[in-house]
Amino acid sequence: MRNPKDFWAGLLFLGIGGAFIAVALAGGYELGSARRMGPGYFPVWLGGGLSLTGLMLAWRGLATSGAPIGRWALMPLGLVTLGTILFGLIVNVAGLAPAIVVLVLLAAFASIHFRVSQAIALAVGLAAISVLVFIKGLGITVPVMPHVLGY
Amino acid sequence: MDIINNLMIGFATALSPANLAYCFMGVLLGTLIGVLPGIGPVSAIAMLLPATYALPPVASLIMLAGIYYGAQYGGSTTAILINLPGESASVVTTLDGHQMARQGRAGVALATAALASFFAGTIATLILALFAPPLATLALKFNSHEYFSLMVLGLVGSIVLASGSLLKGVGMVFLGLLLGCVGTDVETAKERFTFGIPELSDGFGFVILAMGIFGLGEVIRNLEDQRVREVVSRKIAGLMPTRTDLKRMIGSSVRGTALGSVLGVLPGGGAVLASFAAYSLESRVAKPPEGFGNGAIEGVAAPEAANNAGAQTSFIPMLTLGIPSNPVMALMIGAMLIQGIQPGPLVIQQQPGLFWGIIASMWIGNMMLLVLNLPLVGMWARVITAPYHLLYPAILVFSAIGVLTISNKEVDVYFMALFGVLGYVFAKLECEPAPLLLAFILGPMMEENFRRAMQLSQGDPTSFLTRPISATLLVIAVLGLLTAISPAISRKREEAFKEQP
Amino acid sequence: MPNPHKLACVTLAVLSLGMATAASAAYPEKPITLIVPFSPGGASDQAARALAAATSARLGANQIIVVNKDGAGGLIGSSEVYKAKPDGYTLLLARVATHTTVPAVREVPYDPMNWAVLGMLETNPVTCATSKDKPYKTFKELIAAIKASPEKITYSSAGPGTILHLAAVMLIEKSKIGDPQKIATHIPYKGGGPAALAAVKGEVDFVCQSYNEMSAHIKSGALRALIVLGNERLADVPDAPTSKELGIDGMEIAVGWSGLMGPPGMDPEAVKFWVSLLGEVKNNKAWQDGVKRLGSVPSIWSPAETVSFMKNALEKMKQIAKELGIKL
Repeated sequence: MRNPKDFWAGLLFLGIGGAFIAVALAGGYELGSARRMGPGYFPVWLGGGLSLTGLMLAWRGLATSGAPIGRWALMPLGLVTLGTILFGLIVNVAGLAPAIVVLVLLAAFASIHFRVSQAIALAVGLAAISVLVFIKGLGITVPVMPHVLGY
Repeated sequence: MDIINNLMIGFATALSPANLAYCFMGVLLGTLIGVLPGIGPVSAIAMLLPATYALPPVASLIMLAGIYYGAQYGGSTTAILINLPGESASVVTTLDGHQMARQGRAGVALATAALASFFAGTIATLILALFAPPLATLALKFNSHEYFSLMVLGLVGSIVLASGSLLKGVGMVFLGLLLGCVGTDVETAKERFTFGIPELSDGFGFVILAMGIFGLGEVIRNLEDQRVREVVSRKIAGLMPTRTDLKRMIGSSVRGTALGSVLGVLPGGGAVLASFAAYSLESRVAKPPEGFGNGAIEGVAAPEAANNAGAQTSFIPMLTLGIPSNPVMALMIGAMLIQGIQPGPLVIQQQPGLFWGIIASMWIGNMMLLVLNLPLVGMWARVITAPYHLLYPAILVFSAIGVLTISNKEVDVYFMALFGVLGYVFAKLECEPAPLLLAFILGPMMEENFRRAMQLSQGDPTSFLTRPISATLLVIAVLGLLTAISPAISRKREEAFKEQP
Repeated sequence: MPNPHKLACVTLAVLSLGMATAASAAYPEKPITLIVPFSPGGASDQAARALAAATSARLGANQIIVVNKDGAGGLIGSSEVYKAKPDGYTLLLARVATHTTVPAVREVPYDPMNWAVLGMLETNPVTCATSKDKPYKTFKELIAAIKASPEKITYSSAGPGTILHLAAVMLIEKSKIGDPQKIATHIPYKGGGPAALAAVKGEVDFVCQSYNEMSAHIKSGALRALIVLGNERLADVPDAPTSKELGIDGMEIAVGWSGLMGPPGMDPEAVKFWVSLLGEVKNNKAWQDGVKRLGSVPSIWSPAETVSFMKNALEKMKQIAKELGIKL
């Protein structure tokens, strides 16, 4: 393979297109006809289009040359994603403040400039600002902190 | 002349000290809330609506209108500074606006957005005053056939949006259309690709998709090689546009305003197309030396002008016909009804002070936005020169909260995280996400209108060509497609979109 | 999965064993969340906000907070309230969709009849209307036209199984002019607003929808109201006859409504509080006027009346859906 960016983008398209077709057919979405389209018509054709584009792209990736993809930032990717998901898990259960602290600490760890004291200060500061702006100011309805702490 | 009389009535209403104050409050609150990522005009108005119940009708509507375009302007600020589009209209602003910010021209980009918006606002106010009733009938001429053809045209434009490889652009369009299929099928109420998750039955939220792919994806990419790359240029290369900048802006603003004014009138879909369409047109017409996608000022001015013009002309069907052209207008109609005003043709006759007062206040509000925001440009531009390792956790926090406020569902936060991963993968593989987002908006409307049009014309596909507006739009779309795929032009296109360094 | 809320509550209870004073505080002692299972700006949102405004003086610091949680035709917000702690601090603005039409045509994740019903708030009578440019001046003319040209006459709805769809089908069925699902063509739109707009533009021939969603178009003359479903004429369109006057019985269940409900097993103190507070709102002139301005009918009913109405409507709708084979 000489152009990995094209090649992998092609495979990604092919995979997603194929998955959409598979789900549509397995789910029994009626196809109908062009005159009277069923719920499956549009997605199946689009899935075909995407797969075809993916094939062409992957072939081009094999045939032409291009720059390498480069290193994947797996650590930041994992930390940012995990932090965001944990935020969603925590926010309605324990409250906005702990959710923010968790997100900020995890995310900040992804930086090469990470310092514990600074990250904690940032987390607390952002939590305070967010509670003031969103809960006190705009009145969104999420808890601030766990009930045990009795806010 | 009638129009001068009418505008006099309007300004007399809008310039009363109390109304000026409400207009200012609306614009100020709108800007402040709109700056928060994920909180667009709809959330801002819904949050602040109760505060206006106690006001007299004119004041309440003036304030709500102020919140509306204030929030829209605030959204552009986040789009430019941190690549977080808070609503559909600001997606295209990120393309060149954020590039300008990275090059240390954040101030210029923000000022450009403010000036182009103000210019568009001024023209759109005039259009509103002069042509409101005839333009309103345009809204009534657009049926399913016309909407389908308009969406086709938009889709052709979206391929033009793709910088870099045309093939990848096409793939991203297909992917966007497919993602748009997720949710309940309008015609049969069958759930597609929802896997039994109730939160997916209305599909993915646009803002969630956009914030994940653009915002989170960008943060992850910036954390990639922190030692090598400084995310944002530390030095600020001027805050205000130079004379050359201004000259480059003018044509783009004019074209953006024209497109936005017309599209804004069309209920459901018109206004979201405005900024995309303006950018597509611009990438055909203008020839910025740095190329689009690399911080071209035209790429900020045109969509911002279109966006603001569209926001204003979307009041036309609401005020004259009682038709809400977007969710914001639906909220405005609710506010009017609560105030005991029946939106519709009778408003102009029975309440000229109210009708013209709102129109006049729009211009005043746009001026206030300019006065309010130009001095802030320096402050905003400094915000992003803050060390990135302090900035990005804040971006993540505000994105997560913003997404949560859209419909109070934490699953939206998970979806955003998912799209963040996808956004990073796209960035690594050099797939431009803008065409995907436009296709995501257009896809469902295209399918729905196509199927309905076929049903209404008893399965006759020629009906798309026998209706004049629909036929015209399709012809333009075909011409656009031909020029996009013809090799000579596409070479030029590749030149225009030089790959990013 | 252990419920963290419960865990927190238990901990709190243990911590405060010595201080029983908290238990004696009267309901409500904190703000009440009223979930609207639809987006801001619609009829349900308006009903919720009108109620919040009407009760604000009485509730003082413990206001109603309206939270829009839309999605899945109202099912997301409704199931959340159904599963919420029944302490009276999470209530639902229930709609005809969440408790009648949707449960009639599909499985829902809750029992529509097993709720702490606090009362009806307002009703939204359904009218059928046509564009001013269409030739049908009366409902009879419309029916005659449908009969004369089968499958040619179209009507819009907010999707299959919505009140707009079911009302039209019921009306045609009761007019006995042919297969109600074939003789007129059903054209679904994405929501009630676009469905009404399609009738204004003349893209479809008629639409049957809650009057309040179309009042702007009817008042401006863009739409002509042909019939009001039910037994009473509407003050806003005094010339449109009721279905009963035209000899069509049983259409009164095809009505939009908003009610106030809590999760099953809701704290009896809180239920009592709300029933008596709704009794006060009923006579609140400002609330009545506000509701009327929005084109709805103020209809605060007792829990018993509300339940018997819901039961009847749900049974009949289920039966109709079954007879017509509408199942999603």
